[in-house]
Amino acid sequence: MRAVRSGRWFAWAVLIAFFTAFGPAAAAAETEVRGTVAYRLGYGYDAEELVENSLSLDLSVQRRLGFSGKLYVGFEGRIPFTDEEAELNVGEAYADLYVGATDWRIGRQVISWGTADGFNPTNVINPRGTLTPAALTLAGGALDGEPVLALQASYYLASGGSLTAVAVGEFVPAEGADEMLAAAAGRLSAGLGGLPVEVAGPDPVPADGSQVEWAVRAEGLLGNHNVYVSYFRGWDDYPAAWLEWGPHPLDPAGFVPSKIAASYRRVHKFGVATAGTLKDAGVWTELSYTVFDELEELDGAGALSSNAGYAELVAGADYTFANGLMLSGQVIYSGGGSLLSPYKDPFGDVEPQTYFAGIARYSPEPGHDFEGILLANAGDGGVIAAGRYTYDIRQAAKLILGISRVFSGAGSEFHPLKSMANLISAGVELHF
Amino acid sequence: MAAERMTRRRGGLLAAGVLAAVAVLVLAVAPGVRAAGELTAEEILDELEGTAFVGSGRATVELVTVNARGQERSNRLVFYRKETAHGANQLLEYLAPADVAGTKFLTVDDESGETLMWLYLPALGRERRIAGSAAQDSFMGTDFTFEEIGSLGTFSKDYDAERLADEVYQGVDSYVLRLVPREAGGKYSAVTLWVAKESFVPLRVEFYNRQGSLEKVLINEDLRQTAQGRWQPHLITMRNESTGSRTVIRVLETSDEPVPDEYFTLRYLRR
Repeated sequence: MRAVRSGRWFAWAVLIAFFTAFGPAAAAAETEVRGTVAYRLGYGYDAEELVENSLSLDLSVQRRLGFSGKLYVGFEGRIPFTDEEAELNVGEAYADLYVGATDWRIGRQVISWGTADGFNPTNVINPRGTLTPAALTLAGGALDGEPVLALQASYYLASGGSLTAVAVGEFVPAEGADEMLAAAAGRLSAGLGGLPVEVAGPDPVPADGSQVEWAVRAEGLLGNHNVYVSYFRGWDDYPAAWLEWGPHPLDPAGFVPSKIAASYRRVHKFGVATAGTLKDAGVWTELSYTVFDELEELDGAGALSSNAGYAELVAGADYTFANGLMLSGQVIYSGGGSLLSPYKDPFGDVEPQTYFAGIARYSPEPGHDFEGILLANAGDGGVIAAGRYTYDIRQAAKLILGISRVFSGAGSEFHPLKSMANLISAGVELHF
Repeated sequence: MAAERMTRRRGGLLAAGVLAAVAVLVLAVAPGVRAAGELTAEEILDELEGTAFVGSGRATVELVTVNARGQERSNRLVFYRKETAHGANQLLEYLAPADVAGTKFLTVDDESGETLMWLYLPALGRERRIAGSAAQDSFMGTDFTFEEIGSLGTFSKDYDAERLADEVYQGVDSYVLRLVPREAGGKYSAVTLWVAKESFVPLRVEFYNRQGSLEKVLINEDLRQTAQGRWQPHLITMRNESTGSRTVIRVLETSDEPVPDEYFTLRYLRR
């Protein structure tokens, strides 16, 4: 889900406003209404529990204004058949204006940068979250960004290149930090024999203008390869975290971790991405380097985050054989640590990780598609494997069956995920 | 994103084939300019190339795939093409069905002779480069491949041609050519063409596999002459003899109006 933070009232307000504005023209050829209704069921066969049982609706309304622009609004709804609450949220909602050599886009938007499959270190504007087993199995491992309120301008050069500038008016953090820090506090507490460890913060990013993020990107062709160079200045999606110490409740002379404190911090992100072909194979690379505004609290012992900058690199290729089998492979280097969590062991150093990601797709005949996804940690040998079969029940109606499994030793970072990642899934999608 | 990933493969491969198919068969085919009966096989091939691969314009087509069990799928596409000094730029945009609508596929022939290909998927929100190997695939539901259809334009480069006795095919006086690949290892051992003498449109093309068996048959029908005197087939069928499937392209609308250059840019893909 891209937009779980927006209020339901706002979703309805935008929907009503849009149709009020364009209702009389809704039947016009320039207005398009599209959507997807999907039912998804996921069952953890190790945990013996449902991990997903919901109906979702994606709806978008788009009105083209000839060659002058476009209006777009999207909605995302989810009705879980559990005790969770139903949701209806605004997704992207923006206006495009095409003036001369410049394309403008203003509104809630997802700005998708990068060239790699699924994991894009240069895709830095929208919070993308961490990789989860459920995403790998149910959504193919791709990390959606969450829409942010932004102004984007792209100036297209006669040479075919372009320059893009983005200003983001609001800071939207990535989801899941609260749960991760709570889990870290729980582990610490358990290690302290049950002594309480609370999580404090983070405070919201101040709304005094300093919340504004901005980014620029230049692109062009270099030797028949698309090359993108980018820079981002803004806030890290996840708050930095560190331990704070307090007196031991049973031994006033001693100190123990009593609190995990967290605070958002600003970052610089530099990126380069390429995409091209090498003979008949597709090849791509992405490199990013992140530099943090330093926090003193992270210099001492017990930091869950680091002040040190880090690099992320993805290099991959794909090839389609004569029988239609497509194979894709990527090497992912994450200098900031695990892809699964932005936090490190508070008493250890950041441990860069290297992964291999592979995808295979094959269609034995029209309407039958097989896809296999594999993510392996080269350091600890852990593997998450997922497979999916899609059958076209009829045009624009699909049945999707999936299965995933973790293969890992006790020391692998994937090992704790077994209960969540060992699952089977089924779904039906109707597109209209 | 799951649907997107499936769509990515389908969209790209289908697009590649359709682009080529429509380029060859839909866009303007000019009347022959040489005296009939005196042409060699190579000259007929040259005429075929010189007519089938010229021109710029737009075509809206319905593409229907039918498998051996009679199950049908229909796609509606709009196709733009413009000749350039280096070859041609082509853009294909899916209009329907809903799961692929909005997908765009762009090919640009650059000055080095390479064809650059990008696929834009609305759900992904950015373009993706497509490699040549993907264009050789048998794409979603269709019986076309980029190579098979694209090779109509490179017959004289890749094949030795022999002119057989003329025939009357479906009531149309036709040249008959038999082509044999110059290099081993290709997908086909031979190709036979029936080319209308008046329009130089290939009315029937038979593709023989390495074992010498007939594998596919391409048929162009419903030829119509435009106001500019060009011939356009409005019904194109590729039949796979080994699988029993077929793909039918019906031309719904065409235009010879020049297509603006900006259609063939990443900027247009992203809009």
